[in-house]
Amino acid sequence: MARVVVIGAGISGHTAAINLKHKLKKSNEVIVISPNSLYQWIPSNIWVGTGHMTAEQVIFPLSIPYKKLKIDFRHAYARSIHPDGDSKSDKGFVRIEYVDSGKFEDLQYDYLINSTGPKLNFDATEGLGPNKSGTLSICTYEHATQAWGELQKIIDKMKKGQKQKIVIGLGNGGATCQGAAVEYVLNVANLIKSKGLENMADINYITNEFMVGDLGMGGAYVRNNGYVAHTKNIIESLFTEFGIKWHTKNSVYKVEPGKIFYEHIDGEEKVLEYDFSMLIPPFSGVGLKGIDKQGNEITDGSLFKPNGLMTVDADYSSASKPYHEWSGEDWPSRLQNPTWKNIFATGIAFAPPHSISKPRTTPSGRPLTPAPPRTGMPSAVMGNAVATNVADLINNNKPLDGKLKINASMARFASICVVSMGYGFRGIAGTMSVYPTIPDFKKYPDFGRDIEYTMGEPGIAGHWFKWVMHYVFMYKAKANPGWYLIPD
Amino acid sequence: MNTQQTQLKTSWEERNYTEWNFGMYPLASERFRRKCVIYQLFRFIVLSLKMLKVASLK
Repeated sequence: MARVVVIGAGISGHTAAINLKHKLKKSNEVIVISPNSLYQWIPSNIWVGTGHMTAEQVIFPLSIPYKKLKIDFRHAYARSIHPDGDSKSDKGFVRIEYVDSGKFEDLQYDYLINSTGPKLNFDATEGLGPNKSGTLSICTYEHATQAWGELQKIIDKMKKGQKQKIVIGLGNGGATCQGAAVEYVLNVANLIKSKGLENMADINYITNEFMVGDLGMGGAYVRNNGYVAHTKNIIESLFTEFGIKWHTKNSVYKVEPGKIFYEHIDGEEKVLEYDFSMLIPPFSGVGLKGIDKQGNEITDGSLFKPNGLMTVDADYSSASKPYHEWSGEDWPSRLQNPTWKNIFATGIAFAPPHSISKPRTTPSGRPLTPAPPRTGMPSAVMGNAVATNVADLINNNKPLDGKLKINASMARFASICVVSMGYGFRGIAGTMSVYPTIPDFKKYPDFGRDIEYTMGEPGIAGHWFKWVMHYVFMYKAKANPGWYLIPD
Repeated sequence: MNTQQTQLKTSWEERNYTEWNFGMYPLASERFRRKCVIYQLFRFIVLSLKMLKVASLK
């Protein structure tokens, strides 16, 4: 009998856990550790932040699927990983702290999957966040609910004839999740337009991207209306249509109530005022520590990189190569720690070898590089791939350094992103797919991706698709009958 | 000729000095196509099948 411990119950960890339980023989044990007892379908937070859905529609208790599948859930924080055990045992364990009682427990494992997701690192930008300057976020259902509350207040002011300035975007030069910021600004613009208040709102999008449509992945060339068009053209077109002003190549470094301070790529320091602002924070590791057998913290980078993300089988030396030499081969295909091979990491938790977008800094040295997006579909696909590989290792008693069943590299699978611009039967969404997720200009020298499967198209069909996806993926996450037949 | 203007929300005075000037803009035919239920029903089927295929690519 083997014990697999999964840290984190977000999209990646939850996908890994339910697939593990489905694929492993019954005698094996799956334990999930998470300080959140609720699962949330994060992509629909956009609709919570614009009042189209309530928080209750995007969450459910994790106990629902875990009771069905007999997964052992521990409502606790994972505090440290001890990959070589301690003085009493050589077996690796995770030290956890229960949320309710504050008691500690050491959970031994045979295999460990780290899917902790991100820490919302508001501290990286002075004054950023709901608890400081009052800029909002939609990264959790609580934040999205708060954003909707604040949005209602400025809508009321607009109805009374007060013009409002709205700023939505990225709250740091190294932040990622541009897709969510673009989707939210389009939803807010559409909501305001639907109320006939577009002349009362000055809507701005501020970003660290070199151009809109970069989306943290260097942009994408997609099939669109008889053209191979860059996402820059498509997003600029949508922004023009909705009257959204975009401010690119900016590193936000400070926020005060009503004011956003940023440095442009040319070194000019500017200020953007706001009445309502949603700025996505940068992500970092959750603060999980690696501890060696003697009880000392592992600081040599063998378990965690300095940013707190887990070291895996990526080619980290590739970061020093020129940008045009970066390729999909730099990215991890096993998502396995090279020193402790029974440890894997998925989603945001693994340390990427480098960004996908071209790295830049401002003249004063502030970051101006969108971090690579590893949320949504890629994180679920990675969770499933690692679960399949670990189940295969256990079921067939295979060696840890042998060939794995599935290549889990982001350079080998596709990503689908649906950007909504409204809600309801006549709501519009842009449906976009990219294959592969990491561009590969060696294999696809023209556009870096396979144009047959890389496409983008706005229309109400896209909205229906996103709406259906919401309910299908909630069904799947609850482990309802036939859930495993639904793709990630 | 007096072609009807779209009346872009961001004025020319502002667009002229910023980067908000060079985006494509959908004509009425494209805006109609996006919202035509019959056409979009067809696209929904096509998109769903295509996305199923894309999701299975490894």
